[in-house]
Amino acid sequence: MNRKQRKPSRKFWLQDYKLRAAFFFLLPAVAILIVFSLLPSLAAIGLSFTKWDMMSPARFAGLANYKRLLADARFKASFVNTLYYVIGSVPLGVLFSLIIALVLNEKWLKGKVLFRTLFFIPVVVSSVAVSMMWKWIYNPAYGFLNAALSVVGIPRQFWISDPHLAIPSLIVMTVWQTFGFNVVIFLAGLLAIPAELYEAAMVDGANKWQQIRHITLPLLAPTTTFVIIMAIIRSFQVFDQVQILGGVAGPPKSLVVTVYYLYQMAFGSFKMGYGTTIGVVLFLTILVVAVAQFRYYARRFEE
Amino acid sequence: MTSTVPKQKVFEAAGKAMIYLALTVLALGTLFPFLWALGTSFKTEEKAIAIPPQWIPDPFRPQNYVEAWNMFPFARFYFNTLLISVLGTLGALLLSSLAGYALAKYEFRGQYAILLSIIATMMIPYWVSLVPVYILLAKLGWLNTYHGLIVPHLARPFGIFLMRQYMRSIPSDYIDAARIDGASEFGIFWRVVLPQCTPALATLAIFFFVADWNSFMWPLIVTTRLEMRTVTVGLSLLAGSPYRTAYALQMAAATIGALPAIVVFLAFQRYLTEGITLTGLKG
Repeated sequence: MNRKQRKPSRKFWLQDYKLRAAFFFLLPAVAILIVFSLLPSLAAIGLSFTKWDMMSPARFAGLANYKRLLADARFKASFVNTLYYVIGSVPLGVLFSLIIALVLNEKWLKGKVLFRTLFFIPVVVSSVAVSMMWKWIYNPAYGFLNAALSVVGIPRQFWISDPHLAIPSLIVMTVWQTFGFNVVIFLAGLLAIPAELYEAAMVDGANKWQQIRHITLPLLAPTTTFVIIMAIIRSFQVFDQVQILGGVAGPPKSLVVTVYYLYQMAFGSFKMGYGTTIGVVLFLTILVVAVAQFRYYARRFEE
Repeated sequence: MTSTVPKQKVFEAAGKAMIYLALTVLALGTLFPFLWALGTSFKTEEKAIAIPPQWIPDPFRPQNYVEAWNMFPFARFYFNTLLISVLGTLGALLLSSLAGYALAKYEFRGQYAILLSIIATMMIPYWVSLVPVYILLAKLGWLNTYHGLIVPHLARPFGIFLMRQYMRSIPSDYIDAARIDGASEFGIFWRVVLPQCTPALATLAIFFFVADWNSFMWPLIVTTRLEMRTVTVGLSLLAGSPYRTAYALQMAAATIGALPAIVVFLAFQRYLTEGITLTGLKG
């Protein structure tokens, strides 16, 4: 990153007033990124090989944290919960948003801006406030959901504490909170598809579904890739909702996701080395998934 | 009468009506959790837990808001959050546009490498570096301070990238003309380039402000003293307090917490959605 300082071009770097200006324009942002993002990320890798409770000095522990991670049933459970959540929420959320965006993109539809705006409201509200509201709706004794379901004879459900319902309840809540964002991104992508293509297809007698399949979806692929990767990264990071839904007693086992487990280990039990190890492993997982996803779509796009 | 209208037209109209109906139901579903929380927030605690649920609060009890507000120092939380969000947003806008300008309108070696490195840091999730950054702040003595809450997030790769993309579309003629007129490099940036970036700046400002206002894990970890907490952390404290079963009170607090972001969004939503289209944030 600081190659420019070490390897000046033919002129002395800082002697050219234009380059000097560029250097000082870049400096604040780059310095903060290095100090508060890049170096700490590298330090995280180092820290994952240590044991540290912040009271006594850190001790080198070799691969102990990684070995422990592999044998840690609670970590595995949190990882399985996270995967369940990602696999459950990403396809559902993306597909749902895509359908809504396609509908909103119809030319004859009026009130497009109004719908788009309404759907976006949950996106801008903090997950903390949103989770409090949903926790109230999910309340087993007095919540609206059970009251509404009892009308059609469905018995009381424990939406958060029932191991079978915890993650599905979280999925419903977060799909509700995030689909408006995806819709706006999809609409932006749809706008970029030239109208002539549809006109030509209509001349050729292609019906609506054929137009979507052969024009819209292939041309929207870069947008879809972007939305999916963003959704995967976001879903792996879910934390606020779990913290609030869990409340004082903490989330039930079936709701403990990996970032929450990391938080518990690092800031609840002060196992800084172990907590960091969890973060590094989760990051590598996301990286592998995101890169694989990207390459899959890149290849399909070339065909 | 309708027999003169072709059947196909009738089906088409019915289909359109169904779509409008479905969208309206979805819009109501989107708003429902907010409306339900709002309704509960004006009920007495007794009516809040009534079965079957009461639709319209009666008796109407706005005092819940006063009680929720005073349960924890929410005025202080609001002040803290506002300060952090405004300074954080302004600072991040400045740093993003400065760096974006350097990457868009100057030519130097390693420029592309720097851009790629900045985009790469965008991919690093914040909690990978959470523990090291926390330790760094502890060592600097920045825990429980405003700068500890603001400074580490002043450089936002997404903002730098977006400003760079946007500034590339500004013709260099203006910049060259100003340079010939003897304007300083910073003067060109401040008086010639920045005013042309208003749409991009407005979009980013909303993104940044909403993100800062809603930020939770960071202030939860960086602050421990009550007077340094933010609105989201205050809400979580209330949600975990002995008043957690005072549902009307809880919903009043949640509404207080949700309102500013909704207001900012509704006031500026045009810039947000237009900005997403205009800045090419579509992969």
